[in-house]
Amino acid sequence: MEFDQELIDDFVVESIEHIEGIEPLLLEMERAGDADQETWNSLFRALHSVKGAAGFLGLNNIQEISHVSESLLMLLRDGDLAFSSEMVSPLLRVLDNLRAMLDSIGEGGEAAPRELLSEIKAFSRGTQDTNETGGGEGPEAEQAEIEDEVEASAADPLVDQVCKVTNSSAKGSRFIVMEPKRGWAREQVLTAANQAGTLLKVPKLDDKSVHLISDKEPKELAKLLGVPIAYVHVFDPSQHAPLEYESNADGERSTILFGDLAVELGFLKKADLDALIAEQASDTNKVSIGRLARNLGFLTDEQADLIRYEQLLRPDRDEVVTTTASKPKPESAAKREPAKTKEKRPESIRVQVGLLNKLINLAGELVLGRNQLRQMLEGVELPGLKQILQSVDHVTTELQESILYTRMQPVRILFDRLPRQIRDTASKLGKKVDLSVTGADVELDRSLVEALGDPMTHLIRNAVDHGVELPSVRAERGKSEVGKLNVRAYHESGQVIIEIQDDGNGIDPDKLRGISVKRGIYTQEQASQLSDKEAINLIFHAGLSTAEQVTEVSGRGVGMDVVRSNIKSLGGQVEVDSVLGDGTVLRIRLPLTLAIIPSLTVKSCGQRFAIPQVNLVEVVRLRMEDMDERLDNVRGTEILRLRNELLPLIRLPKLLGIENQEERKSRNVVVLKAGAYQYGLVVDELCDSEEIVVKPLSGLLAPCFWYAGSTILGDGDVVMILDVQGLLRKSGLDLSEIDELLEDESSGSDDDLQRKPSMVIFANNENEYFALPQEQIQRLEKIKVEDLRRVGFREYLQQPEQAIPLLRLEEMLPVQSPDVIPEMGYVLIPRSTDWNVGIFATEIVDTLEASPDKSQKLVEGPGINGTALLNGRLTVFLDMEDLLENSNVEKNNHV
Amino acid sequence: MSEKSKIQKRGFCTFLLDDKRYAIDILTVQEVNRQLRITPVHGAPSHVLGLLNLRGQVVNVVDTKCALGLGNMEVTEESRQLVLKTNADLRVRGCGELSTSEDLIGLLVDRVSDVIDVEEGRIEDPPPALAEREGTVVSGVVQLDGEILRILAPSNLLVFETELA
Repeated sequence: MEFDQELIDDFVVESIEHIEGIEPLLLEMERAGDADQETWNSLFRALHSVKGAAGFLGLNNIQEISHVSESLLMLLRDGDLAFSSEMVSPLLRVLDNLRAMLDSIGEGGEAAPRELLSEIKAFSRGTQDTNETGGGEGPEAEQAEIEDEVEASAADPLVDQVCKVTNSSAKGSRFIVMEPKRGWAREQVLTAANQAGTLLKVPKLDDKSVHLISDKEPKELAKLLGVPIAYVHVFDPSQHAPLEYESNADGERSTILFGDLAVELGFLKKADLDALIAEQASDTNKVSIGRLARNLGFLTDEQADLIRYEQLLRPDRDEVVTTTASKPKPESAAKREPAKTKEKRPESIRVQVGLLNKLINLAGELVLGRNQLRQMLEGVELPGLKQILQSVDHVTTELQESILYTRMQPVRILFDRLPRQIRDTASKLGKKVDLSVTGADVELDRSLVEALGDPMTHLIRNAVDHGVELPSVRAERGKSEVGKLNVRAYHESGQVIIEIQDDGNGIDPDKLRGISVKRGIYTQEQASQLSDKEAINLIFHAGLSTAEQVTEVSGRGVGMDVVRSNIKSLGGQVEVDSVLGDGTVLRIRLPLTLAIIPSLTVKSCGQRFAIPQVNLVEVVRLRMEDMDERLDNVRGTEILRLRNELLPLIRLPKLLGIENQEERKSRNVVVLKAGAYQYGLVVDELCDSEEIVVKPLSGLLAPCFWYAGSTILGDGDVVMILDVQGLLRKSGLDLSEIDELLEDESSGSDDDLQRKPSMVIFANNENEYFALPQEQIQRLEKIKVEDLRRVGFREYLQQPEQAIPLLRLEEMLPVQSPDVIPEMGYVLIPRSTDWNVGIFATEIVDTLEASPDKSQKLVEGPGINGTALLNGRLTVFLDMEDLLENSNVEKNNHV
Repeated sequence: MSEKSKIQKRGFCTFLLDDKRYAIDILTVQEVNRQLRITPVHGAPSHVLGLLNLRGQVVNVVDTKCALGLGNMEVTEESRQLVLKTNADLRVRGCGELSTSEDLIGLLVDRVSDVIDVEEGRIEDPPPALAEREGTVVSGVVQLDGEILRILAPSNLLVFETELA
């Protein structure tokens, strides 16, 4: 398995960060002569992370050197070894070496320098013969180590056998060459190698050397092969030749050809090789024999690798054979460093995150400045001004976007870990899961990507553990034995959505109701009143797990609530949808970036507030005459009857203790969602929807949890951003109590309030009203009629990114044209994926819950559903689909 | 002026609260600002008057009298704010030994007065008679033209017991 270059690049960047963090600490330690626990810990942590990541990526050389140094630090930290300043310079050299290794990862990586490792190991063992204080070369330390290791086998007659172990840094397994010098019969060698428990290939080089691949640690190997560890040499093929499959076509780097070797090792028949060579000759792409053989299935990846390593070794055979244990190869990083500095990594520079953040802030401010300028110059007529403004506008927007993109990273980074995770989890549980991933290129703010790692792990585990059933169960239910897990990332209305969908068991709302009662979260009565959706949402409740038994993988009842709070702290939301027996969909909604969010500004208490649109459900405007009927006060909580549900209301003046004369007149209710709950916020006025730059609250305002931050609007005013959850908390509304009320109230009124769809009522003529279902309308545009463009027979509404064909009702239906050509008009944009059109209206009258009167059909025709008298006015109910179908606009006319 | 005498003097920005004179180390002051378009933060602790837009940055305007435990101020035409440098800013400018706040703070004052130099030797310990809150915030006093000049330590001034309105 090859690792993604991006993963490796990230590892390099992060490791270098760690190393840079360690260096000053070491220097400070050397100066002070000692260090406190915290310093030890941070040193230890940094090296540990480098080691861990290197191990994961199979970068054994890096893993080894960091492991050795880590061991030393551990002893020092735990006080098992006294710190002396002599330790500093070897440790610093370790850092230099690590850097060199990281720099050369692209070319296969450097080997860990033996003598430095021994030197560090010598410290670890408490060998205080630190006579090579400067840390130049370490033959003495090396010697000490060898003696130390050898002692057990001193009497062993095999000591003078030289065994060489080749360590391939690209793979988890090692390629080993064992070359006993004398005394061993071929059979003995084979037996020893077999004991190593490894895949074995005996090449016909000479009858004594053995080549094998093993995934054992060098130490373990040495034991199995009966040689001291000091004789087990880690050997990096990359020093000998580039890690490429040799090809006959491009320059002969090796003394032996890949194909010949393959035949020699018995992987390939001579006839097949000839066929491959012929194939290669006919191929214009100059593919190497190795690749060709793999592509055509002649060789497995493993065999190809083996041949490659073998090939890499051959030219150096002579040198290698003469290397004996008593004289370790004098390799130093410095020696090999120059010459091969082929820059293979993508061109990038490292920039301080602080600087990036500053740029983002500045860009945000530039946007505000631009907005102010635009507002100020609106209506000012100066020749050339418009062009200048436009170009400033354009450049500013682009600048801001580009700067924001500097922090963007693809979610691929998260998704790449999934296959492995799912494989491990599934095999542990004996399940079969097929993963499909889409949208890995969707980008998110760097900090979001980083912070999403844990929640994603939780959700994936949950899906495999709780969601997907065992193969036998699936078969019983008539599903394929292999469970399907779809992970998707996509954009939706300015947010990024990550969706995890399984086709498993689904969530049983009744079971959750039961558990919630058992755990004392709800009473039996309360639980039975929960809607299915609310019940399913209980999975986010702390201390509630649906797994019948706690497994090793999940089911401890922590998890989902942690996931939710993690994601909430990122400004995102988690939603769950589930159909029992069919599967579950978990949706994580995230803002694109942390810095800029779309918001609605409202006025209350004579002041403006911004509300993040993520939390916005809808805006309701109450009619004066309906106020008394729809507003109610139950047990001290003001509520609003909204489509047969009761919505608790919050009023800012009351909540924040502000005098407000106009309060009673406030008729706008902003419906907000805080997790699974919704409430209404009564506001005096709706202002604008704006993209705002969130400025975090200062320490002085930390107690004000009902604000999410502040922002500067286009006109330069500072405005507080409301925290929807915080407001609810501040209000002290007990929502479970409200739920209770809701049930009480609605049980009686269910029948007389037949639920009718909400319709947008609009006019095209003074005398006729039209109605279209609100849910079928995506948005309304207020336009200047003179801005409509006519091309051929059709009118178009010019939008920033496209022109939308305009439909006029009088051209399609037997209805009247507008009496007068109005100056301003409206365009209703349908929520349709098939059509890209707008419907013209002279006036938007209202939104009402209404349905056509079945007893009367005064106007008939295609696209007409029926009519009704609403507020004494004849209203024609339109059928959107029918209407569009009968228009002269073609389907699927999206640009 | 010789280097020596400079070292022994400290510059102060002086201002008035009611009729009392206060001073603050000039090195901690970023600017004096007369903009008073302050957005109140409802429900905030009473010493926070609100937020203000200073060229794209949000300044937390502090009611200095309230911060001294002397009641609330009224905003008048003469009112000014002393916008303080943040701690990060002070560090960058090599004044790391001074400390204000991590946030951008504007101290609202009734009137800004002179900038003066005071010899270190003339700064006395604050009299014990000062009110409790003032006692922790005033780091020293200077007798000046028969008047007492109270020197404020901004970092103490901006530390409050958590208090909710």
